[in-house]
Amino acid sequence: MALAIHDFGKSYGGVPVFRHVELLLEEGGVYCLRAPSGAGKTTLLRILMGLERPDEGWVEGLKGRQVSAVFQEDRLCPALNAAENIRLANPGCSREALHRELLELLWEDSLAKPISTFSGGMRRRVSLLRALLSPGELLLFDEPFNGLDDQSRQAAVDYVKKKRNGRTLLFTTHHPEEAEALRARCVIWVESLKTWRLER
Amino acid sequence: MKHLAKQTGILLFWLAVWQVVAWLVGRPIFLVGPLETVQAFFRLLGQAAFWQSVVSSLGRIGTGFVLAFSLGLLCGAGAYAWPLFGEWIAPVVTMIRTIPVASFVILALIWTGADGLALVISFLVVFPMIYLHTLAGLQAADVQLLEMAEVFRIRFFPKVWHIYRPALAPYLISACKTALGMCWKSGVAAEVIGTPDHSIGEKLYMAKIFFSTDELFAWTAVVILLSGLFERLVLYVLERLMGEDSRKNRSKDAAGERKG
Repeated sequence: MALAIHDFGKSYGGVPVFRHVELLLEEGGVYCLRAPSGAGKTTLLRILMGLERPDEGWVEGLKGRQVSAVFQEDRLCPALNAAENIRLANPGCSREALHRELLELLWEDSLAKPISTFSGGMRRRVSLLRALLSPGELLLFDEPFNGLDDQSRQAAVDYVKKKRNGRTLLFTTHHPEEAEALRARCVIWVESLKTWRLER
Repeated sequence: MKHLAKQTGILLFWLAVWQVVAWLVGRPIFLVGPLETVQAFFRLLGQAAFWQSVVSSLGRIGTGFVLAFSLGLLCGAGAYAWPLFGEWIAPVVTMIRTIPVASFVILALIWTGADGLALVISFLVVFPMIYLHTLAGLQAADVQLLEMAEVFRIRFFPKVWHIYRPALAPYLISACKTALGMCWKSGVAAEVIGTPDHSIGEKLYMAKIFFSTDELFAWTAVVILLSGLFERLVLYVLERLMGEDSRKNRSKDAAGERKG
């Protein structure tokens, strides 16, 4: 089912962040939000995650569907290891399968350690794994490859391609090459109208 | 080892000062030394009445503590989940915190008689502390993790265990450390005023009446000992329940570092 955003508007303290946003995200499509900071990329994702409400507008095709997210921050439980963090979001994931998946982006000797001992890049990969291995039908990723070096960025992009399984993906980034690598259609910011629209 | 030797040295020094001062005063009614205190202590150990008093005071103060801890935890969680409940109960908590313990002792004597006194007082001293720290601890839970739990639809118990528990643990443990000392001090003080039969407070009161200062000192040592043991026990159980993960992960860490 496609995701249709109608006439979205959001303001903070009377200052509009965006308004009259009309977007149609087709089922199974990959979309990339590209804009300078302050255009409300994170806000738009947070509304779709159900964490905030738009001041105006409504959305079709979201009700009852589970969302899977990579937040701008990693949001992992520091005392738990990678597998425990992922199983928290997806208790149905079998241990053996999870172990295999973890090894796609992490090294064996890091798996028993708590997240608090992980570097920023490792945490990013765990939050990406958590989002992709969860049963959410709509993937909302806020700068998912942030903090990764070139090599692990490539591995992470490939992993997203492999594990998306035809699910709709909307993500934000500052790097055009990430959008290209994922063959994403870009949603661009029109500053004069303070709105988002799909690039033709 | 060196640390232990230093600590023992300091302790022996002050015990010696205490003994010398007791000799200089020369009047056992005013001050007995550590030797007389130990003698009195061992004399008490042989009496059935001693054990009866210890068990009954420990039972009352301990029960008061456990009840207050459970109800404080429950009400604190309730106030977090339903702010209206928190506002509703706030005047009661403020009242319990501000009314002097002495007034409660008299009231409790009128309401429950001397027997339930230490239990009621220990409850009233502990409840507000546990309640307020539970509420503060839950409010300190990481909002970002709570949002994550909402998005991923993490169920109630895993959420409580992995997000709320780590936030609550330091608050609850620090509240317990304070509350455990307070409930013993005020519980025994209440017993001295109400002198329920077969209680530590009654024995302290008797020691005063009969000018047996050595027994007064020995009973004081007993209270310190009991309160210390009770504190160790409660904190041990609590830390096992609340901090299990961090300990487990620390040892895993160490193992990982050795390997690497």
